[in-house]
Formats: sequence, structure tokens, C-alpha cells
Amino acid sequence: MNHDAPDRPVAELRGVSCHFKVRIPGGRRGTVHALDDIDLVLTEGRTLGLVGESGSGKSTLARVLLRLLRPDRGQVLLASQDITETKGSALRQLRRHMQLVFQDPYSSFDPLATIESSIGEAISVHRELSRSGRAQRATELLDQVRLPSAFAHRRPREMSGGQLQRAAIARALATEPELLALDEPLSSLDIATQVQIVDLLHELQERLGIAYLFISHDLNLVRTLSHRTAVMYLGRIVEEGPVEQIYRDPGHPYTQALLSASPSLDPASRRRRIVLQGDIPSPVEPPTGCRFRTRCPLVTAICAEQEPPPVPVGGATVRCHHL
Amino acid sequence: MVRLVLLRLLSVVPVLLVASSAVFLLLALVPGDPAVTLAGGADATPQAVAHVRSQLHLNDPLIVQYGRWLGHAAIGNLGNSLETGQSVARQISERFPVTLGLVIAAALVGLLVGVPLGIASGVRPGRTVDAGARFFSTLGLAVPGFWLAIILVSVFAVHWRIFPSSGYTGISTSFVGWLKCITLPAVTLGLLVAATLARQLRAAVVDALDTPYVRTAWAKGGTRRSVLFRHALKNAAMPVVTVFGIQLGFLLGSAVIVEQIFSIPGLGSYMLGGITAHDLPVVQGVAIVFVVFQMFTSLLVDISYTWLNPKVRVA
Amino acid sequence: MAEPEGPSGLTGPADSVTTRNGRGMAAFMARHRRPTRFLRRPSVALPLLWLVLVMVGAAFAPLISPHDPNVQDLLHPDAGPGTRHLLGTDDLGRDVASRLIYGARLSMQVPFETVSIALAIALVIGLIAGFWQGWIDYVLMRVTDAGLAFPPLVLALAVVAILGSSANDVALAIAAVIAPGFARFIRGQALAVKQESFIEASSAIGSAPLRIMVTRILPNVMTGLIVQIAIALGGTLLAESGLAFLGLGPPPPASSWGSMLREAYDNSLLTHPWSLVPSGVAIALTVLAFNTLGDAIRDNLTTTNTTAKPSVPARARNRRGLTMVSRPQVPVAPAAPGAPALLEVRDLTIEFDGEHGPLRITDRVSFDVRPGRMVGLVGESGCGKTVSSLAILRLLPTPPARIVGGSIRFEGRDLLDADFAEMRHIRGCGISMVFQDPLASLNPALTVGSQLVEAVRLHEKVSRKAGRDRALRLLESVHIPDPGRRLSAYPHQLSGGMRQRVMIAMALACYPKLLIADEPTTALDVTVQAQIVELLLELRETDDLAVLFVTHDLALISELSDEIVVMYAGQVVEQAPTADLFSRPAHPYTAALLAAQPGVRSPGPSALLAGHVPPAGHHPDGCRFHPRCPYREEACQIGSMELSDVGPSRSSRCRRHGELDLSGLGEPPAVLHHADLAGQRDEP
Repeated sequence: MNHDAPDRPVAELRGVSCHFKVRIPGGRRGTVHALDDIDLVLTEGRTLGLVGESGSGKSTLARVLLRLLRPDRGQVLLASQDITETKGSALRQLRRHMQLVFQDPYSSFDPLATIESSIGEAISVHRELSRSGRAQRATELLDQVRLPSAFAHRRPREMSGGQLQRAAIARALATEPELLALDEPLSSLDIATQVQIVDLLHELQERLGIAYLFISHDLNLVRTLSHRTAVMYLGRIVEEGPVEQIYRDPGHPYTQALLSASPSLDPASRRRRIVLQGDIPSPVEPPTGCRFRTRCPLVTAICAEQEPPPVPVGGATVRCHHL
Repeated sequence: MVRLVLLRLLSVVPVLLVASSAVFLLLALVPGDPAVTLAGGADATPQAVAHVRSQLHLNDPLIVQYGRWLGHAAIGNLGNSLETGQSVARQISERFPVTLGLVIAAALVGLLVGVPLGIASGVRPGRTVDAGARFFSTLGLAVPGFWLAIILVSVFAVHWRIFPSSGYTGISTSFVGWLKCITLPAVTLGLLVAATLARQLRAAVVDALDTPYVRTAWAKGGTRRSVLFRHALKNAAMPVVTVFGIQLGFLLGSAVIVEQIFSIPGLGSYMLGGITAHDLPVVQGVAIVFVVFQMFTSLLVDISYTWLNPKVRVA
Repeated sequence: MAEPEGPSGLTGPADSVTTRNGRGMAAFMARHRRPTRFLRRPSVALPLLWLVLVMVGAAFAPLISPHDPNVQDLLHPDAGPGTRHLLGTDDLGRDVASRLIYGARLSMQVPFETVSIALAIALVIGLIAGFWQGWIDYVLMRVTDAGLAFPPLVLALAVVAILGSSANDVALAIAAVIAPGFARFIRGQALAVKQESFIEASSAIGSAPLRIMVTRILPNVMTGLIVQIAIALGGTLLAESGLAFLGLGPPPPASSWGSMLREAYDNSLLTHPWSLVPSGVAIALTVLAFNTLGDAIRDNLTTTNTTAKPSVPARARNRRGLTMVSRPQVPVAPAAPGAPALLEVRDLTIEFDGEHGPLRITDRVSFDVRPGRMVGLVGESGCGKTVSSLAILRLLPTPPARIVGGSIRFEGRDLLDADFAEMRHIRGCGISMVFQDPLASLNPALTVGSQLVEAVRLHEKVSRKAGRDRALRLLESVHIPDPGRRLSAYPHQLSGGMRQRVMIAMALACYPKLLIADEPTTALDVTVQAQIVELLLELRETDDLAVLFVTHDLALISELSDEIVVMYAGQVVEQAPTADLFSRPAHPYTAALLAAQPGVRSPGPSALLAGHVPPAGHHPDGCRFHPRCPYREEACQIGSMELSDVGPSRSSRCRRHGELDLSGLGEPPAVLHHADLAGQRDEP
């Protein structure tokens, strides 16, 4: 880790909202509130863990951060430069600074192309290199993720999920990014492979000082890998703070429920399971006020009327009326 | 449901517009001066050319011609034959039931042969029944329809004399007579449809029997009958319904050839006559009727698909 | 850091064919395929050979054909096959064989020309519509809809009628017929490919849209298109001969197979039926070749494991709904020590048909489930846990699966002896099952109510009304709000958690004594998982239900079960009461699994689990875990390892269990932050 400038922001979201128009069953049109009023800072050499259940908007957040999507409101900053409105080839020039690793490694590689050609595409977009230069660089990158150079000539279906996920990381590193968004990179892998990839990610971060946005639904994984954690529910960040504080002393009732519901091997760290009733409401026309109110054990009248403001609690920020 | 059907009906309109203009624009494809070509080529008398020109209003701009043609077609006036001067619409209305009867009979043969074959073969892949069914459908997909027709004629009409080799008796004149003369053509067309249906249904049944919900049905103690008919077949039917709809269009097209071979006075032979005589109004008239018929059948197919598939129904 | 998992880290070249990381059974079903083997298949080689023959013949017709195709020999019309005229002569005495060879020129030219024209048009339309979507997509698709609204042959007829019937005109006419279908297909494929993450990956890299379209989308669209092309070639040949038969063939003296048939039909149908055979057979064979080739390519693209040699005798195959049992000898019932178990699985051995003969998926798996207890069956994917659980109710399909040894006793009755009727009664009444993916496991075409009522009425003669009442109570018992309304809902209308509740309700319909739950919460969100876990615990209390809980999630099972069975590479490696297993694992694999849990890191050599589970057929000699085991010795690598008792109601498959002191979760610190571990990791 770079201790000289531990808090240098790499990328930032300020008041970002992202809505989609969709056709909902019955033929009517509705608006998906994928993201609402998101503030987030990613700092050099640090990992921000993003947890939430399916449909909470985690993937959308990553794609707005990387400007694969354009937000409807708010700003996206890359190294203090506003890139919200950047587009076309100017935006493509910036892409090298921020990369993405996907959940399904098989879907994230062209099944017809060799690993070398997929990594080569990432190299050639940003560097003028000869064919052999690209091949050599690809081998170096594979070496960084501890894959033998023979894998350069393989195709995705000739590799295991773990190997392919390493190759995906190698491809992301090809552009020497400052920011790496990892969208559930471990959830399709076996536990033994997960550990190996976690080790690799950690090692790369120490060496290269990359900022990670680590997205997962697995709270235990987020805990081991991240420095700060943000908890999302229905398009909003309900709580954000240092990882130890959030896990030891969660402020938001949703975070509490989530932590208590997540199984733990350690009998000492088990909490009384808070079982939330019902399902996550649809992000189409979500509940008014606090979005969690329909399942919250602490709900009162104010929750439906007002959206809870962010309240600082220690090093964290919590959005709840009942702190 | 009703709303869905209405929406589907509405979506037919733009397609019908494009298709009808395509039919009309056949005129634009006519090489050289259309009037001369349609009147019989270079040797045509000036009177004949003038007649064609005036009857088709060839001096008007194309768009005006199209508008007039479409307007007339909408009220059932498809013009008169250049050859005989008869009303095309009347001819079509006389011949349409003949072709419809043939298509329905062929579709029935296709269903009666194809569906049991497909199910039997899908339930026991690898067995003798399956091997036979696959042989049949592979062959059925490769053999030209007219060749099959000729073989059937030479066996059943020429050699054994069970059915007439050609000719037609109206269904209202004599049902048995109609049945006799429609059997060979319907079997010819039907077998080709059956080959495709059997093949598709086999694949669909094999897939359906391999799904987790069929495993659930076994796991809750389902009998072989309940698992096959209640769980697998209803789902397997969905893709096959679509295929059947496409096959109906195929039937319509192939009917042209089969009507020719068996000398059946349907739309196909009418169109063919129109083609050989360069009788453009006849060709256009039959083509547009075929298009409307085809769109109508695919509409029916869509509706039955909706009935089968609850996901579409609710959405 | 360890060696990367996979080939280089493991047992050598035998393992170099790694599979798409499907879960469990799927893992070994998906196989890498080699092109040479594909070409050697008869369904590929024969059609290819025929097509090459036809094309070479057509190209070198003047050199090959025995006679001039147009020289008439009016003295020998309508001759049958003979030495002078191999396939006889036609009504004008022309040599049929020579005419066939020359006819192949047009009969091959038209299909290839047609498909090229159609493809050129369709690629432009399809790719533009699929890539840019929006209004341009709408307009283009309405145009193709209009094209598809014509009955196929009718459009071609009309166009040929106007244009004329030279080969080029015919090709154009048929191209107009098939282009709309092609365009739709290409658009669909392009849309599907666009959904794949690798397209987004290319955008994220910064590749320009045009480059993505050409280098990524187009090749992937083409692979699926090859099948369509092969079938369209056959279809065009049929259409061309149809047109020729109607008199719209090539103007004489040119001829195609279709026009030869027409001539034969006109002139010799009654007098000389043989004349219909050669050209007809040529058409049929060629179309057959195109279709078969298309099918073979499609099978190669879509299905997996097509070349598996079934080792099951043909007669016994496909007994739908019941896994086949072929045990060499039926084991004698073991003398029950103490209270009899509800379910006793002994030496269960299952084989699947593989490419090179049978593969042993599980090897002598044994465990018990006692009444009212919950047993966890755990392991990584590919260890055989799901296969074992499906085998209990004999739900594995044959082929490929067969049970080749062992016994499964339920209440003393060996289920491997049962016939379909007995088994059907046990399913649902004695033992029920809940699966991982509730959406796929419920029938999409039937309402929740009808599926629940069926579960009841399959086993009890009750009226529909009574069945419906029971269904209502079942939904209430799994806490589904507003159960009356849910009865008429379809599965896709429910949320994931709700669907799994329905599955559980269905499993409980006839009061079973044992519930087998195969990863029932894996597909669900954490808060919903908690709901289902609470439900299972509650049902276990109230209904005195025994549960076999199959999962890869050790943390989850540690909170639930009474006993745990750990599987590795098709074998049980350890079995113990839950608390004992977690505090003092007896097998190095168990210890390694525990150490691999996120948030739990105990220092020591077992902290890293390198490599991955070897697939069936590649199990090493000796202890199957030895390549990954930090404690292995020479002796671990030979012979075979047996399960042995290592304490009261505990067993382990490790020869060093007595000497090893494996760390469990007993020692602090149980939870470490990852950053603290940086210095502790050992590089092997």
C-alpha cells in the first residue's frame, strides 16, 4: 500500500441517480429506480466492499462508476476530473484507468478467441505494440496472475472457472488501471478457488496500489477483503463506513438483519437471527420515504413520509430515522 | 388476453402494408415496357398493348396506381384477368375453398402422423420406434414433394387404381368423391409436414423430459403417464406450435405444385396459369390472398401459443 | 501462493482436458471436442464425401461424363440401366448419367448463389438491427415480417414469373424468400451475443463499437449461422427443383435435376417409370447430405458428450423415471447396531457413461440418517454429493447413470430392489425432495395449486375439493401470505423465496419421514435464505422430520445439522457430529475446507487448498486427496484408502488420522482481517 498518500481519491460518485424506463407486466410503463442519490469515494490502494441482495443496484453502480452507463443526475469523477458528460473516443481514452471483472468468467471471454487474443485486445487499445510484443506482454500479465504462459493459447472452454477468472483479472490489468471494479467475481467459484483468487487480489493491490470496488452478496467475503463497506438496499446506500465498525456495530436495521442472517462458522460470533419478513420490493415504483420501511422491524410513521438523511455515526454514515 | 389479441391484430397492419406493396411492386419488376411484355411480348398487337395499358392504368404514377389497387383490393376488387377478362376476385372465391380443403386435410394428416410419431420417438430415444421415426423424418425432409406425389400416383393410382390420379370432385357434390380425390394430395403434403413435426416434437419431448420440473414430478411420485402427459407434453407443445404455424405456410406454397400434379382447380393452379400467361392481376390477386391467409394462420398460432404459455398470457 | 488450480497443478496430462466449470454432474458431461474427431463421425464424413463428389463431378463434367449429355440417340430411347448407358437413356435417347453430371452444375450453382445473395442481404439487415436496435430495428423487422408473410414458394413463383427463369433469376427469387428468415436469425443471434459479458468487457477496455461488431459479434453470430446455411442450401435445391418441375426451370438445353424430373414426368411417367429415379434420388441424397451435415454441426455446437458409449444393454435402457441398478451381488443386510436408522446408505457406487466407457462417480458411499435428525452432506462441486442424494430416490436418468453397487435401506427396505410402483409410493410418502433452483423445478405451465393438489392426489384418493383444501393448508404451513390467491398463480409470478416455500409445501404434501434438500437456499438472497432456514428448522420440530441437507456452505450447515458427512472426489472422507467436526476435524480435507472459509484463517500448512477436485475418471491412486494434502507421505499415494472409525460415531478416510493434530475452529483467532495475514502466508 502506498502510505505516502493513503487517501488519494481515485474515483468518486456525487449524488448519482440512475433510472430506467421499462415496460412492466400488463403493458404499462414504469421507472426502475436503479440508483438514487449515491455518494461514494474510492481511494488508492483501498477496497470498498459493496454488499446488498439481488436487485439492490450493485452492478448498476459499478457500471455508472466506470461510465458504461450515464447517470441521470449527479457527477462521476475520475481522479478529480468530471467525466459525467464525456463520451465517444474521449471516453474510450479514459477507459484504461478503470476496468471491470465479471461474475461469470465464461461469459466474459469470447468463446472463439484465445486468451492471448482477448488480452491482446486490451493491450492494443492503449499501446502500440507489435504482434510479438503483445504476445510477450500477455505472457507477463498471465504470469502476474500466476497462470503458466501455455494458457495464452487456450480457449475459454478449455479452462476451469478459476483459471479463467485469473485470466479476466490479467485482461483487466493489461491497461494498468487505477480502479478495478469486481462484480461478484467469486460467486461462481468453489471455496478453494475463492481463497486463491482472494489471495491474488490482495497481493496485486499491495503491489500495484489499485483501488477495488468489490461487489458481493457474501458478507463474509466482503469482510476479509475490504477496508470500507457500503450496504445497498433498493438503489440506496443505507450505510457506509470502516469494515470493522460495520461488522462489529452495524447502525442500520437492514445491516443488522443482513449480518444476523449470514451464517457463521464461529459460534461465538453468531447473533440472534433477525428474520425479515417478505421479499425485497420491486425497484419499479419503490416505497416512499425510507425504502426499507416495508420490512423494517422499527418502522414508524415518519419512515413513510421522509427519506432519512445521512447521519454520521463514528466513521460511518447511516441513513435511518431511528438511530 | 383479449387485449393481447387486439394488440396482435393491430401489429398485422404495418406488415400487411409492406407485403401488399411488395405484391404490387411485382409490376415494377416486369422487364421492358410492362404493357408490351404483359400483352404477349414484341409480337403483341398495338390494340392489346393499349388494352393492357388502360386496364392497369400504366400511365399514372406508380404511387397512384398502388393507391388505387390497394383501395380496390380492400373492398374485394382484385381487377380482371388480362387473359379472360373475368373477375379475379370471383375466380379466387370459387377456388379458395378447394385449396383450403386441401390444406386442412394435409394439416390433419401431418398432425395425425407427426404427433404420435414424435412423442413415441421422444419418450424412448435410441429404441427401434425412435430409429424408425427418425429415418422417416430425415427422408421426409429430403425428398421433393412433387417426387413423392409422383410415386404415390404411380403406386396407388396407376398400379393399384385405388385413388384417381387426377381430377377433382367438390365436397358439396359428393363427400366420398372429394375424399377420394383429396387423399393422395393430402397425404403427399401431410407426410412432409409430419416429418418436420415428428422431428421437432421428438427434440422438444427429449428436452422436456430432461428438465428439473420433470425431475420434480418424478420425485413427488408421479406415474409415468402423469409425468409424460401432464408435465412434459404441455411444455414440449409450445415450440412445436410455432413450427406448425410455419409449416402451414409451407403447405400453402407446396399446394401450388401438388394441385398442378393432381389437376386440382385450386388457387395454386390458378396462379400457375396466370404465371404462364403473364396475367399480372391474377398473380397479384392470388399472392395477396395467400399473404392474408398466411398472416391469419400465424395469428391463430400466436393465440394458441398464448393459451399454452402462461408467461406470455400474463405479460 | 499455491500453484494455480487445474492441469499444471495436478496429476499431469490426463487432466489437461478441463471442463467448463459446471456444477456437479454437469461438470463431466461437458467435454472439449476436437475437430478431427468431428470429421471422422459417419454422420459428418458421409454427407461431406457425397457433396464433394457431386461438386467435383459438376466441375469436371466434360472429363468425367461418359457421353455428351445433349446427343440424342433416337434408336435407343427410354433404355434401362445397362453397360452402355450406366443409368439408361431418356425419351430422346440421351445418356442419363451424363445429364445427371451436367445437371449437377445448375443444381449446385443455384443453392450456393442463392444462399450467398440471401446472406449478403441478411447480414447487413440483421447486424444493423441487432446492434443499433431502436427505430431502425423496428422498420427493418417489419420489412422482414412482410417477407415472412409470403408462403415460401409463392413469392419465388411470383418473382420468377416476372423475371424469367434463368439460373440467376431463380437464385434471386429464392434468395428473396430465405433472406427474411436469415435476417431474423442473425438479429436474434446478435442480440444474444450482445448480452454476453465479453461484449461489455470489450467496451470497458475501450474498443470502438465497429471493432466490437466485426471482431467479436460477427464471428460468434457466424458459428450458429453455419447450421442455417447448410439447411438453406438443401432447401434451395428443393425449391429450385420445385420451380423447374412447374416448368419454371432453366430454359433448354440447360438442365438441372429438377428439369430432368419434369421431362421424365411429361414424357415417360407411364411408359418408363425408371426415368424418374436417378434425378429424384440425386436430389434427395444431396438434400439429405446438407441436412445431416447441418444437424451434425448443430449437435456439435449445442449438445455435450454426444459420443458417450452407452455401456447399458439396449434392452434395459431408458426406463424413464427409475435409475437402473445392476449390482453384481446384493449385499446382505448388516446387523443393526443399536437403534435402526431411518435411512441407511451402504457402499453406494454409481457409474455414468463416459466417452471412454463407464466413469465411477461415487465410490462406496455410506451414511445414515436417523429419525428426526438433520444430516449435512457437504463438499465442493464435483464431489458427488448431489448425485448421491438423487440416487436415493433413484432419480438419476439411465442412461447415463447406473447404480452398480451397495444398498439404500429406508425403514429396512432396500430401495435398490424396488420396482417403479413401490418406488413411486416411497417418493412423496416416505421421502421427499427439494431442489436448488425452485423456478426451474416447478412446472412453468401449471399453476401452483394444481401442482400441489397433484402431489396429494398422486398418493391419496381424495376429491379435488379436499385436495385443494389440503393445498391451502400446506401453503399456510410454509407461511405464504394470502394462500388462496397464490393457488391460482403460476411459478413465474412468485418471488424466489415464495417459490422455494411452494417446493417445500409440495414435498410435505403426504407427510414424508425424510426430506432431502439439495442446496435449497443457494439460489436465494441472504435474508430470504434465513427465512427458509427458519422454516426448515420449524418444520423439523413440528413434524419430526428427518432432513438430509446437501450443501457446499459449511457455515450454513454448521448452524443447522446434527451430523455432517464430508465428501471428496466421490467418496465419504469424514463423518462426525457437527460440533466435533468443526472443533476437531479428523481429515486434512475437512480441515482445509474449514480454513478456506472467508473470515476464518488459522495459520498452518492446511490454510491453503491448492488445485481443485479431480474429475471422475482422473482420481489418483491411494488417498484421493493426496495431491492436495499438506500431510501426504509415500504410503498415501498407493493402494486405496478405507474409511475407519476414529471415535464414537466418527469415521475418517485418512491413514494418518491418529498422528495428525488438525486445527479446527477451537483455537483463536477465529476471525482475522485479511490484511493481517500478509506476513503469514507460506509460498510453497
